[in-house]
Amino acid sequence: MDIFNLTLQNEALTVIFFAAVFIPALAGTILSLMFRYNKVANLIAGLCITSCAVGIAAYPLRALGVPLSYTFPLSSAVGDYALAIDQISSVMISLSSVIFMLIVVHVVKSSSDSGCRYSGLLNVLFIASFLCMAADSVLVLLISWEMITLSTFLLAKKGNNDRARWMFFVIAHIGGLMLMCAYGYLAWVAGTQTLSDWNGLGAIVGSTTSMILVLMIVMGFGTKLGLLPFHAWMPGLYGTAPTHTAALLSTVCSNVAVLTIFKSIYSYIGVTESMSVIAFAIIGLAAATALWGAMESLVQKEPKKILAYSSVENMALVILCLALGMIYINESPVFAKLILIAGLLHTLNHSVFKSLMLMTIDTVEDCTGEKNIGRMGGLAKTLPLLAVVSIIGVFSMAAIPPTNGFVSEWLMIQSIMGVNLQSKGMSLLIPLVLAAVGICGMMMAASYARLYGFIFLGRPRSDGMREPRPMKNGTLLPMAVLAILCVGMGFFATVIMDVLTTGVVSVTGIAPSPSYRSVMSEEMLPLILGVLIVITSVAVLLVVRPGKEREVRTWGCGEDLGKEMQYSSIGFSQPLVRVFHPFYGDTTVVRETKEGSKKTVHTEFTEPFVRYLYMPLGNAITAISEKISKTQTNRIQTYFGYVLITLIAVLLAVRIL
Amino acid sequence: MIVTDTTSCDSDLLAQYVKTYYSDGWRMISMFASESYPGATINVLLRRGGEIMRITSEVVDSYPAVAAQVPAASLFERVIYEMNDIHPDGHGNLIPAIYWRKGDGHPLQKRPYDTYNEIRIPIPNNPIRGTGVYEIPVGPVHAGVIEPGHFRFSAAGEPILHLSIHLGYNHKGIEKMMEGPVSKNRTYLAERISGDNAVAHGLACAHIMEGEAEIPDRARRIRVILAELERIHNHLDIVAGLCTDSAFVVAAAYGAEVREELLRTNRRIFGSRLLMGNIVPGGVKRDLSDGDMSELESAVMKVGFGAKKLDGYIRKTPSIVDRLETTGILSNENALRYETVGVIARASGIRSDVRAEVPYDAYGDLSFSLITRDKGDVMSRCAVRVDEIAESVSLILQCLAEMEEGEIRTDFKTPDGFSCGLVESPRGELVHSADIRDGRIWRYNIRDPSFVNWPSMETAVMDNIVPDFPLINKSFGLSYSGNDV
Amino acid sequence: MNYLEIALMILQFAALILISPLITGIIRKIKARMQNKVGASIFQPYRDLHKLLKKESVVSENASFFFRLVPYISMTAMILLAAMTPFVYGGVIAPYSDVIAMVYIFTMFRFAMIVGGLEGGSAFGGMGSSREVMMSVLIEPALLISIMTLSAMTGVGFNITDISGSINAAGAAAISPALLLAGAAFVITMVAENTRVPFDNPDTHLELTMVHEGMLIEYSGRGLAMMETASMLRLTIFMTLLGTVFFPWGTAMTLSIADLALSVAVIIVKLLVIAFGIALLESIIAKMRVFRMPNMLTASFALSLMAMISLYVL
Repeated sequence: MDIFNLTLQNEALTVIFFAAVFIPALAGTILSLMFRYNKVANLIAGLCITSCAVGIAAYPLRALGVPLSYTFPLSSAVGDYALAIDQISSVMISLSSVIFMLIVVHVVKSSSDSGCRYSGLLNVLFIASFLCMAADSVLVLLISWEMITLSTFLLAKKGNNDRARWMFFVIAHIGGLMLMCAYGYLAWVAGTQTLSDWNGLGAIVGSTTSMILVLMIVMGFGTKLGLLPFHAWMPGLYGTAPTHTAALLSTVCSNVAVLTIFKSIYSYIGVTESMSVIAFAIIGLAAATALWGAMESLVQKEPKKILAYSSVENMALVILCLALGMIYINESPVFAKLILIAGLLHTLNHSVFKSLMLMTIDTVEDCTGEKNIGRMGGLAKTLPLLAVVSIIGVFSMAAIPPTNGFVSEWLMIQSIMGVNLQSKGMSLLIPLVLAAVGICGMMMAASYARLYGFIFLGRPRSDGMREPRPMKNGTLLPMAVLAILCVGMGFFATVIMDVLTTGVVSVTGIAPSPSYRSVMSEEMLPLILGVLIVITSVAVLLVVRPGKEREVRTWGCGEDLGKEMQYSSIGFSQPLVRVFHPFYGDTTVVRETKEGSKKTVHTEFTEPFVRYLYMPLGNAITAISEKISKTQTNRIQTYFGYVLITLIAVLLAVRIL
Repeated sequence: MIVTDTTSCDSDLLAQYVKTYYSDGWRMISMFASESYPGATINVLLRRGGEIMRITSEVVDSYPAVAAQVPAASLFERVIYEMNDIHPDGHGNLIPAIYWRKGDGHPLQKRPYDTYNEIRIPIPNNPIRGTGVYEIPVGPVHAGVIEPGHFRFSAAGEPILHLSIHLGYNHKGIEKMMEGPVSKNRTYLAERISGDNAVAHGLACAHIMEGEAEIPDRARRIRVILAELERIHNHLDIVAGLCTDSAFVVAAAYGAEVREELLRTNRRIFGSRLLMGNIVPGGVKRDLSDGDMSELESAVMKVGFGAKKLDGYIRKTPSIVDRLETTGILSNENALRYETVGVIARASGIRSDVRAEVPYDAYGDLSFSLITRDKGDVMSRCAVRVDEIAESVSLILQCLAEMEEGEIRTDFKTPDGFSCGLVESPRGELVHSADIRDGRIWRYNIRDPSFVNWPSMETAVMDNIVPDFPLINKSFGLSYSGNDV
Repeated sequence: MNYLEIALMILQFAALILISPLITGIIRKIKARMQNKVGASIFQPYRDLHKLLKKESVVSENASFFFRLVPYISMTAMILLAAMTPFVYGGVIAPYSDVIAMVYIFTMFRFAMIVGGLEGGSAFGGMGSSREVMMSVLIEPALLISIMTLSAMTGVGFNITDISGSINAAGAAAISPALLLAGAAFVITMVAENTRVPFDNPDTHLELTMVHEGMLIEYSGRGLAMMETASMLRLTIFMTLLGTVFFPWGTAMTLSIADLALSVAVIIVKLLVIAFGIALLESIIAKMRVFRMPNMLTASFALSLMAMISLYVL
């Protein structure tokens, strides 16, 4: 390993690394502009996979001591374009690259969302997310964030879903504007563009201003994470966009946002004692968002929308952790460390299981042509492998031990409960937050049970489900990898937690000792619990082996079971809807049809935020977007033109600030 | 009991006739077709208070449906269509009355009936569709030991959006078996129509057989005792059953115990737990000795106290009161619209009781009050039952106190012609009617109160939640076997 | 830990598992006596399980691999919990008995059962699952918070044996509003979690009213035997938790013969008292309406929340 210690070689390695990340992806982007053949599409996707594969090397290289910082030999009037990957970013980049790669592999194999344009945009999105996570100057951060928004906006095009896309576009830009103001102001205060030089700017600007800045940054990135009330675009876009776009949005883009929020709060601005007010506000908002997401996911009719709200809930929990950290950091630093680790770990875990589930849904939709969960069912009999893979994802999402989803929730509850806060007022937070986490957890579990149960179990509810097309070759591969990751990251969670500790320590400046492990209930519990579960189940299996078995038709009380005599997904959540009805409003409409005695019952759920906040807004926007859509030519060159124009606008805006 | 008035009309005018009578306050109690070569006679029995009117109409193989004018006829016409193959034109809802059966013919026709094949007609789907609406099939084979019947719920979650009740699995062909020479043992068969209402069915049959014969006073009083004993054990069974279904086990066990005591007394005194074989045309089978009477008196009083105690258990436990109140409301309007009878009608505020309106046997000499409630929920039906037990106890005690020595049977001759027997069975107004020609029963019709009450349950359960259905069903306490004669 | 201690631990673990059908038998017997019935022998559950284990399974043709997995997941979860639960003297795997993990293992059991209920493709399984979901959304947080209250109250971390030991050592001083409120919440949770009256009727055979039985409706033979055992075990574990964690006085703190003997006697008395309490409760109240349950469960949730708040405020 001697050679890596030589500075020159390290620098060379850095350049090679960045080159290897950017060149294939850039080449892919350029190719996509030039060609429109489907054969080229695979090549372009292959280039993206290459870039991702290189991206995975970020953490190992960083761990080996390669500095991974680079300034582009370009300079603009407002500053340099610098990249620097610190420890926590390298973890995020590596895992995000894995997820990105697997999603692109799935894109290639499933071919439901293919074409030069799509693959090219994937390359753009990868570059953008990489840049955003690696950014060391404000300019790179803002530009790449804008690129993420634009490329996902373009990636989301499928059929006629302009309404959902424009909603996303507008909301994301509200967030972008907030971010631009916040970072512009910070840059002005700091007097430098370089992010790594920003440290504790909160002390300079004063507590009130820094609280406003924290709020703006959280809300700004929160528009992508789906914080209330900015979550409204998510179900619409997830429901209508290509599933892989949704997967990328919910995993890689969320990772980027969480990472940047984390670094902004704890490093750039820095947490001071007087900031607990805003922490409380964010905790309240995050808890409300989590509950809202959990509740709404229960009534969704499309699997993708269920997962959209699940993302809302999961990301809200992460924000909750980050905000709790702001309170803990002054009271009990070791618990602050623990809760930040919990939050970051949950971000990583979320990206693993969520991408797995979205790929599953894509495969289901691809094989059956069915989008409505009310018409699904019985796939476990026809696509057993897919069912096995996705039950692991579902277990993970529902936080069932020994999967990774369990570990992060377990850590979260530990750090919420373990801390000993000085003031009684703050202590009151603990039971309330715990209650919110508890209710969300079980509601989401219910929602996931519904998701799995009504897609894979029971009897098929439509023809497409009865005889699905076989899965395309190789689509199972990325899902299997992710499923293994779900379990593996559960068993070996402590390894990842140790890695995250270093990052948390370096970003927040909390003393490395005492180790977070000193406050954990049992050092190696995830592994031990996993092993115990395995041993016990093997023991049970050995003692009570499966006995004789006879397959019969499901008992229908002496009559044949018709196709409608099966519990429905809407019925499944109806009791909960009734219990929590104030949040759902009146939902059932009975209509008498003209043939006398025949009746039709419709159950419709409209998200109240959409109905009362966005509908009036949206109507106005639709009118505008209809005018704008005339300028859409469906040609990628035109889109890139728009990207360019927006970028120039951004640059100008930054310049003015 | 002889019908007060008979008119006949053209089959085209039948519906109009019935409608005219309806507007005059008459109410249909039975309707059936009696085969006669060629064609058949449609008989419609109407009642207004104590008067009974029969309208007859000759038809060939079809006639304009009465149901089009009078909805109450709908049920009867379904059966007429299936049993006699006479088509009511414009009926609109001719779903089958029997889904599983032997033979593909029309059993009540006089021609030979082939029972070789087993026919299973698929049960139609409920007429309600929509997002997330599913059907819950329950029965005909149930998890518990109850009679067969198919219930098809439509729901999208817990509230019931629609319920269709499909019965007919118990069809035994009793109406057909009743045909033949008039003999005393017809009551034997009648008692088996619905075993828990043996006395009521036996009495109704006996009333037909006896014609105008004078029944000895002692026999008439014993008949009342039997009928009221039957009412008590039926009501107790249902009240205890309500407790069982709501997992209120101690009260349920107590109710079952009280009922069991009574049944054992029945066995000792009358030789049958369910009082079978006691009603014979012309009187009763068994006389009561003084010892029997005193035993019966103390047993009945014990039951009266037991029922009070059971009622106390229920009323003093908020959890079960909460469960029973506001559940399964059958509003007064619906009870009238569906022409319900018996306990169910009385719990919905309708004052109808055959014992008071058309007194038979000794009821005319006895005093009792008519129990009603007006909420129409499960609790009301339960309360009506509990209070009726007390009334029955008082009736039995009155009979025992004024019992005079005398004969218990008399000779009689069954007159030819049409006659009907009306009895207030524990479930409500029970109607048997028979067309007797040359000493032979040509056509025997049985209309159990369950037959007219079943459809009303379809509205009573609406908007209740699925798990409350067993309670509602139990509170109606209807007979499957009586419905599917 | 010496060998004797390990042997004792394994013995008590085996005992906890083996007595669970007996506890169910005893509750049934007490209930029968309260109804003036003779009732089946208290060993009847063993006979039932034995019978079921011998029978072949009849499985719906719509059921997938997961259906066959659910009994194993349930049994695994319950055996693991039995190993963690302090019984006579700490749990078998005492160093690893984390309370949060225990709550999540309960969730694992529940989740598997809810999903398994959807396997048959009929209306009844789904109906049971959907009702269970409604209840568990309120039960699970109440359970979590009430147990967490103890953890926060004692301040000894998340190990259930430590929590139990700490309350035990504090003696009567541990009786505080927080403990009592949490205990009350836990009792409601216990009744609801084990689907007893008034939340569900464990003896019902009315298809339309089932909750827990609804989810088990497609199981038979071995699978049913395992699910039934898991349910009985769950009841026993909850009763034991109530007896040894919420009110742990009398549980052995040292490994002396006298202490252990006392502990055995005390736990038997506690279990019998709780069994009697459950039987009494089931005898004097009727099953609630399905949509009344949330009120009761919310009460339990609120109690547990109050317990925890009282901890920080008082």
